[in-house]
Amino acid sequence: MDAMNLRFVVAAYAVAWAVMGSYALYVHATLRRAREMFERSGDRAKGES
Amino acid sequence: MTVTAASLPSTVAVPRPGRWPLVGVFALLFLVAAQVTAVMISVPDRDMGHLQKIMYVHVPAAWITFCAFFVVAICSLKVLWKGGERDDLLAASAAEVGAVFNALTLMLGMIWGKPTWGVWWTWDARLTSTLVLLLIFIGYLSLRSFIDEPERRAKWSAAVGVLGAINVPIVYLSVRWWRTLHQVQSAPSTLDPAYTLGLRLNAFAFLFVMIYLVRRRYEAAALVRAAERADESLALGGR
Repeated sequence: MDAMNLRFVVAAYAVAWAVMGSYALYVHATLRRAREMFERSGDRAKGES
Repeated sequence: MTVTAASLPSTVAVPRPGRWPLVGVFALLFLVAAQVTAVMISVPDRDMGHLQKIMYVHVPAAWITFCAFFVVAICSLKVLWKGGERDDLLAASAAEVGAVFNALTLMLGMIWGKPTWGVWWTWDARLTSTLVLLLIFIGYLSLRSFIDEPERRAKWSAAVGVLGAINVPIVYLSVRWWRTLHQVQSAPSTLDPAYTLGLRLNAFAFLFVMIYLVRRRYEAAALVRAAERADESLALGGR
């Protein structure tokens, strides 16, 4: 019974880390893309002037 | 080649990373320390045994969901009251983070529910209202992706954000209004003192993670908006 319970506990912590970890990676990737987009638009503005 | 924030026409200031990467490292380390401490110091519960340890992730995830949607409500009200791009982007960032924590709360609740209740899911008042909350904020995020015009998107999504946040107190009080399967709220006042330190530590750890994620998501959204405005301005001949 206790071994079975421990499996659920491990599953819960694994899910928590997987969800928060993947979302954090997504946020960082989005931020990197946004920064590149911002820099490109700045370059275009400079090229135009 | 980079440009400074000031060189791009935008109503929202482009946020700088500053010390936020360090905040992220701190939040991560605090989370690891809080979880290790909580798991190590908590004795098995008389009825649930080790399953009680799921509380240290499930309950903070639920609280953080409420915090994120509270931020959405405040920012949405400000958007409806006086407009403002900053509040709109902040509301959208908090809504996305809140939806992730909301989904996590439901998943962890299901993992906890199976061994304790014998079922993964039941149409209990707390579970159902939490699912409705998640669906509202998925709708909020979908609505934002359907509307291109920024001002209209801000107003419409702010209205949905306020309406969605009204569901938060309903979710919180559902266990008192409708006595069904879910237990009453787990809080320091309803817990054995042996478990309060672990719960408090994890609540703060999740809060730091939420603050960090909302800030970084906001930073990305503000950069995209600034780039879009610069391109629009360029297309209009630098006006």
